Parts: sequence; C-alpha cells; structure tokens
Amino acid sequence: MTRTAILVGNPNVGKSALFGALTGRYVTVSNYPGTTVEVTRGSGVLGKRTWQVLDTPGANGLLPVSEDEQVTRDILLAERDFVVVQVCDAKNLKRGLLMTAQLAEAGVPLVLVLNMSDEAAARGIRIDTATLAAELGVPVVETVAVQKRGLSRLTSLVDDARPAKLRVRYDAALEGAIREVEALLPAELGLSSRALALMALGGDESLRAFLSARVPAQTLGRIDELRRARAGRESLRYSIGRQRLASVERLYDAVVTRSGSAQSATRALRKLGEWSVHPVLGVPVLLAVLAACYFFVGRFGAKTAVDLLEGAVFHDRLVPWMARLLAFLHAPALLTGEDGLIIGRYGLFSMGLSYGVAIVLPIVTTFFLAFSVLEDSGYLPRLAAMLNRAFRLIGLNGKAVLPLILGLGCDTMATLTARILETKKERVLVTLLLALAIPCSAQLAVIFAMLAGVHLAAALWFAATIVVVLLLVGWIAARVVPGRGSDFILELPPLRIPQFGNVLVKTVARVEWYVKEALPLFLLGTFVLWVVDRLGGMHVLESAAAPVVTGLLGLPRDTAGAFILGFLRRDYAAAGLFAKLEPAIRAGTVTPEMEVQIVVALVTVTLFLPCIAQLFMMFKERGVKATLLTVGFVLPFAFGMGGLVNFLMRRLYL
Amino acid sequence: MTACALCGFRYDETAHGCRPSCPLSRGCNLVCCPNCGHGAVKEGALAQGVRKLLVKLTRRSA
Repeated sequence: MTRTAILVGNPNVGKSALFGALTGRYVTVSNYPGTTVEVTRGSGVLGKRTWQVLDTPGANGLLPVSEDEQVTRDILLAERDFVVVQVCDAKNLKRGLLMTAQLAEAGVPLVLVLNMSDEAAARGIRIDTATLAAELGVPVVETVAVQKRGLSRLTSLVDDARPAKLRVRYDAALEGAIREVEALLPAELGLSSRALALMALGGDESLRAFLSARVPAQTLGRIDELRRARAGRESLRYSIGRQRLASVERLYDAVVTRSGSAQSATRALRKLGEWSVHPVLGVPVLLAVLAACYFFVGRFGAKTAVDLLEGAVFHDRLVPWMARLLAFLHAPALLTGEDGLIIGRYGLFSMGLSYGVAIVLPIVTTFFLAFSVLEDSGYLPRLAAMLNRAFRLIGLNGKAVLPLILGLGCDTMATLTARILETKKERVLVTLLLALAIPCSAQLAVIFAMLAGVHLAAALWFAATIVVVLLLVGWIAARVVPGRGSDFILELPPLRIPQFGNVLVKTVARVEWYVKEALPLFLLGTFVLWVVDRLGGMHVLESAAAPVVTGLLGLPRDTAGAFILGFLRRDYAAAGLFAKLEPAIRAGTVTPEMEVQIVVALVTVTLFLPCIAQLFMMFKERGVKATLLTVGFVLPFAFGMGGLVNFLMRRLYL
Repeated sequence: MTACALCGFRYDETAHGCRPSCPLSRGCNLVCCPNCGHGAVKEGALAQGVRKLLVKLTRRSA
C-alpha cells in the first residue's frame, strides 16, 4: 500500500518548491472538501518505494486561526498511515520549532527539513543538526529545495520518520487540565489525545465540530468547564503558546549559533532586553527612550536644525532671492507680493516649501533617525510585548498591538495591517484607535518639536490626555463592538547595538519617501488655501470656525487655516501651528497662556481626522459605513476633547 | 534579504511588493513583512546610492 508523506510548514518556507522537486510534473490540485483552500497531491519515489506526497497550506501551528491552518490540521486528523515532512526556514528556525513542538505533541512520525540552509549560512546562522536530531529523536536534513540540494538524503530518510521526543512541560495546573481532558477523549482520533486536549483547552472552535461527532455532549461540556476553571488572567491559548515558546527557545539556544553581524546580544544587552519587556522595569526603559527622542527630535531637530533651515536658509536667503528673481523676470502680481502664489502669505515657495522643507523635514529627519535606531536595535517588538499587557486592560490584546505600534510609523499602512487580526471586532477597534489617537511618524515628530517649547508639566498634560483618550475610547469600544479578541506570540529578536549602515540607509529611504509622498500634498494644501484666500473664503472660514477655534478651543482666530490643512495631513496641520508659535518658542518667550494653546492645539490635531491616504484605506478595508461612523465620531470628539482640555487647563494649569 | 524590524522574520523584500488589493498599491514605496505586516520603506535611488557607497567604503577599509 502506498504511504503518504505530508509536507507541513510555516508559510513561505519553500514547501511547494520541495513538493515540486519530490513529485515531478504529474500532480492534482483540488479544493479541500468544504473549503476554497487548495491542496496539492502527487507521487514520487522516496528511498526505495513510491510515496503519495501531499502539500498542505502554510500554517504556524496546529491550533488554527485561519481556514488554511484548519485545513492543514484537519488533514493530519483525517489521514492514516502517513509521515510528516516538516519544512522549516533555516533562517527562522524558532518559528519552525514551535510547529515541531506541536507535531511532537501530536505524536506523528516526523522528518525535519531545514530548507534555505544556504541563506542561513550566508547570514552566519549555524545549526547543529546532529544535536537537533538527537534532541528531537527524528532525522534532520538540510536542504536548498530550489537547487535540489539535500534531496537525496531527505528521500533516503523518509522511511526513518518517527515521533519526535520533544515534550513541552507546562505548569502544574495546565498539566492537570491536560490529563483530565485526555482521560475524556477516546483513543484513535488521528492525533494523540495530548495534542487534542491542548487544542480543546486552547479554545479551538473548529475542533468542536470534529469532537462533537465522536464524544458525548457531556464530555464537551466538561471540557468547557475545565477551560473556564483554568482560565486566569491570561487565556489558556496564550498560556499554552507562551510556555511552548519558552521550551522551544531553550532548544533553539542549544543548537543555533550566530557569527559576525548575526552574533547575538552581549550579556548587558540581554539584560536590557529582559528589562524592556518587564511590566515594571519596562516603564523606565520606555521613558528613557521617549526622553532621548524628545531631546534629539524636539531640541536638536526642532530648534537647531529648524533655526538653521528656516531662519538662515529660507527666511534670510531663499525667499528674498526668489522675490528678486520674480521681480527680475517681471512676474505678474498674481505670483508675487503679500497675496502672491509663489512668495505670498499662502505662497507655494514661502509657505508650502518653507513648511515642508524648512520646518517638517528637519524634524522628521531627526525622528526617522531615532526611529531607525529603535528599529535596528530590536526595541520595537519589546515595546509591542510590553504594551500588550496594557492593552489587555482595554479589551485589546495580542496582535492588535502590532498595528498600533506600526501606526507610529504610518497610520495608513497600519490600517492595512489590521488585516492580520483574526476578528472583526479587533479590526474595527484598531482602525478607530489608529484614526483617532495614534500619531504617525511625521506628526509625532512635529509634536515632539512643539512640546520642546513648553514646560514639562504642559507636555505631561498632552501625553496624559492622549493616553487617557486611547485607553478610555478603547475600553468603551471593546465593550460596544461585539466579538472576541485573539492572542499572539511575538518572537523577540535579540536586542543589539544598531548598525550604522542600516540606520543610515533606513533613514535616507524614509526621508526620500517622505519627500515624495508628503511634499506634493503640502504644496496642494497650500494651493487650496491660496485659492480660498483669493476668493475671500479664508475670512468666511475663520468667521465660521471662530466659535469653535476661539470660543471652544481658546486659540487665535487664524489657527483655523491649520485645521483646514489637517484634512490633507495631520502633520501639515501641526506644522502650521508650529510655524505660528515658533518665533515665541525660539525666543523662549512662551507664556503659560501660550502653553495652554499649544497643548489644546496639539490634542485637537492629534485626535483630528486621519490623512486623506488613511481615509482611502479605511474605505477600502472597513467599508463606507464603518469609515463614515469613525469620521462622524472623530471630528466632533477631537474638538470636544480640545475644548475640555482648554477648560481644565485654564482652571488647573494657569 | 531583509529582517523585519518588528518580528525578526527574514524575507526577500524584492519578492514581497505591495498587495494588489491595497488601494494605495500603485506606486507605493512600502514593502510589508509577510509575517507581521510591518511596513518598511523600499529603498529609492538615493538610499540605494548610500548603500552602494557604504559597501564601497567597507570594502576599501577591509
């Protein structure tokens, strides 16, 4: 009888390339019953006999969170007399070993393939395959599937597949629950009862249908009782994943060594890495990071660099030169003078380029530099892990934190990233919070710059307001929007000293991107303002907005223009506010009254509508209704919160 | 090959362009990690120039 070799592995590890190399041309592709997920079957001679080979969809584990993963798990449940050929990406071995641990728990005969081993070696990653094979008790083969390297060794070892002896030891309470559930399950269900018990305790809804056909309803009820009884502050699914990862990390550390630039962190960096994810010690690390960004971006970027570019370069030289050039060319009055299109109050050169190049560019450049350092150091995933705990308090957990962290880079892309969330509830919540209270990198840079001009107490008013809004709105929304949250396990790369070359290239790439994406919008916004002004609409708009801008927010009347710019980009609005207050900030003559105005303006602009690109993304990803509801909430909320902060600060701060 | 700054996943950035379903995919300068979605800016001409210069300088000093 022909036995089956099932290829299993994470997405993008080269399973299909290996399948093609093992089976040749004649394969059948069909949808897995009841799904739209494709499964490919073929046959090939592995060792001395012919095998049926089955290629499964990429999966990160046997506790499925997607239809693809469910199909892979169901294949393992349904097939009989098979061996699993687990394909790992040798560069990302830890991720692969997480799957190995689950296959070991499932008790299936296994061969482990470390694919793309050439790329891993080129990156200084050395895997001690002999030790790994000994620890797992299964054959381990290094391959480069696209070059057909290592395939003859693999085919000769498929017959030697056996269950891996890696056994994750969970805490006593969990082990007790596993034993109880195991005792309730009949034998011969395809996978080991320990694996099925873990899936059931992890809350695998898709397994319920499978079990309900095989065990009495009372047994399912008893499993639910056990789940509820064992659920503590963290869900069982998360707890299982966390303890499994710890076990895998021990094995990984024993078999993987890195050399050269891939060298793992020194002891001091490891310690710092541990502190940065600690719920208590992580806070001072975060504050130190924020303080460093604040001084570098707010003091150096917003003062020294902006003074130089805006004052010495633009104001003192370029704008007068442009004025003289236009005069020399006998340019029409429409382009020059106080209301001219080029160098007027709303001139493309004197305002659009001046804001974009002389004010925002030096600020975002310093911020991008700081952000690239944080990225290259490996701090960002630690921040995500630490914030995961805080966000649990508001009903958001796990993967939902990732898009919020990504929003600090670009809210638009972060909105797209919300797709990785498994539940509609999380997607809607994250989209709302991104649109409402997560400033993008460019806006964050200008915020740092403006806060550098006020006292620490005023800066804390701003920070506290945004944090309270984020937590409060998230908490309320988590209760209003139906659905459940999902957990995640984030692999933490080692903390390391940032590489100069990486940081420089990343910063230059971001600045280049910013110049291409944002500057044209700055010029467009300036042009719109100029047209509105020429048509006499600015005065009308300022009058119309006066009850809100001057009455509710207590800001100067001409600040209305900045909010109009905010409809294009929030950072442009912040730049407009910065430009109005910059002379006082530069001269050090910011009064407490002005500090209140700065905080109120920043709160309003930070909570303001997302930029045009993000709005497009929201329409596409969340639909018209959800987007209009979000916008309908965000706009009045931003002005309302600005008004509230104005009211409170005038009573408590002045 | 690049390593994602958020999750550490190593992937070929040239093989992971924008998703066609993204409304901003046309002319987009970002590449997203296939594992966690973290967006990295695609290197433009200037950044590539800087990278080449760094490689040259590193080789010369070696």
